[in-house]
Amino acid sequence: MQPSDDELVARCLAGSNAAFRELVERHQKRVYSLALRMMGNHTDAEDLAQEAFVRAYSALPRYRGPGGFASWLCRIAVNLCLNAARDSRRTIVVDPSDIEGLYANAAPCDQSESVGRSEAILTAIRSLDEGYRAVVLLRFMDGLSYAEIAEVLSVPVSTIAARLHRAKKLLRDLLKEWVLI
Amino acid sequence: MNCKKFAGKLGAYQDGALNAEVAERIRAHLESCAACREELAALERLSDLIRPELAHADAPEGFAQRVMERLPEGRLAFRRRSLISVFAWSAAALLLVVGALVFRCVSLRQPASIAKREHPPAIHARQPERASGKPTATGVEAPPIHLWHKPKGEPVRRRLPATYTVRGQALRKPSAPRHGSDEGRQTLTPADMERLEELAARYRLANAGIELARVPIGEEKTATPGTVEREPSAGRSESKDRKPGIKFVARSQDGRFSIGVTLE
Repeated sequence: MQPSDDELVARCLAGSNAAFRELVERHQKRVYSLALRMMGNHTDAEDLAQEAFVRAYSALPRYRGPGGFASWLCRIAVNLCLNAARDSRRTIVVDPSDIEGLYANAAPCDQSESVGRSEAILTAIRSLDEGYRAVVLLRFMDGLSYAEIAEVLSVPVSTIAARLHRAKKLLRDLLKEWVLI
Repeated sequence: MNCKKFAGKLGAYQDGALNAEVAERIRAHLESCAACREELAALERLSDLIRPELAHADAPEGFAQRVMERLPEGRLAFRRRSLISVFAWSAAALLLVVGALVFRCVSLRQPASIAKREHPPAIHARQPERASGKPTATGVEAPPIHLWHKPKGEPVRRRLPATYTVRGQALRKPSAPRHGSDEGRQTLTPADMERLEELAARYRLANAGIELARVPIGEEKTATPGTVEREPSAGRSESKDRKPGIKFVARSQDGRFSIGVTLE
């Protein structure tokens, strides 16, 4: 039976780096994916995901469980990504016509169309403001509830609802070629 | 039913984030509203479109190893760090206590004359002729005065350990200034000057030559001798280490030290 996150944290605090490595291996996919979708490139994503784990390691004595390690780690990663995205102003301004162009250029065969659609969707998500993007990723990638997202981002649930509503509207406009079939 | 009333809630409805009562009202509305049903269907298509694209990606090969190599310390980092931390804080606390005791002893035993000294002596603190807040012989309550001194060139912030409270000799207490206004800013009167000089003489500072300079609180170091003016500080009292009151400094003519006076 696998030890829980909290058990591994306790072992880390007792001096076991092997336990922390297990935590990294357990959560690396989620943290890396989040960073990748937030930053849009593998180099920044890996750097930020690693930094998130390093900061979590240093902050382990301040972790207050039980059962909230994944959410706590996610909060560290999201905040790092938000700061990095804001610092570098990497938000991509997307002209809706660009996405329509991607759709129009997609070849008739299913595979090419799928590639074009994926590209359009990810481009549309990257075009969102960092705050909206984080909410969309936590909702659609991790399936977190509004309350869980609110906890990760330390904002009220009503703010999450408003941001998601706005983000969905923006995405719907950007991806209308696929949404309004 | 008004569609606009529900338009902003359809996303939350789709995500199951509404309370049962609101969700039930929306469900009832959807049964009779084709436009809202289409809106909801579009939101569902959007979710179906996005979700597969946001599947978790595999972390790069060797990711965990690289994380472990970036950790600040090796094995048993927390145990070592916590022990170091305990020792460091204990030592720091002990040093502070010993330092404070030594300083206190030295301060109380310093001779009165300062003219031959590199730095001014401690102003003998707590020479209560009248305690603040208590009735006096004349029936007038004297506001307390805080004096501090600092050697020339020493950062202003380091003056705090040399803060003394002297009660009984007070300048005229001004009317309380209103926050953020210039009301209460007054030039020291000759009578105030006399009393300040008397105060300085009392503490054997007059023979070092005193010049008074108006100094905004916190900027004492840059002050130049000149006019003496009261500086109301009630509007500057947000900082925790600043007490509301009036503060100005007296600088010795030889520039070796300065004296600050705070009126409460």
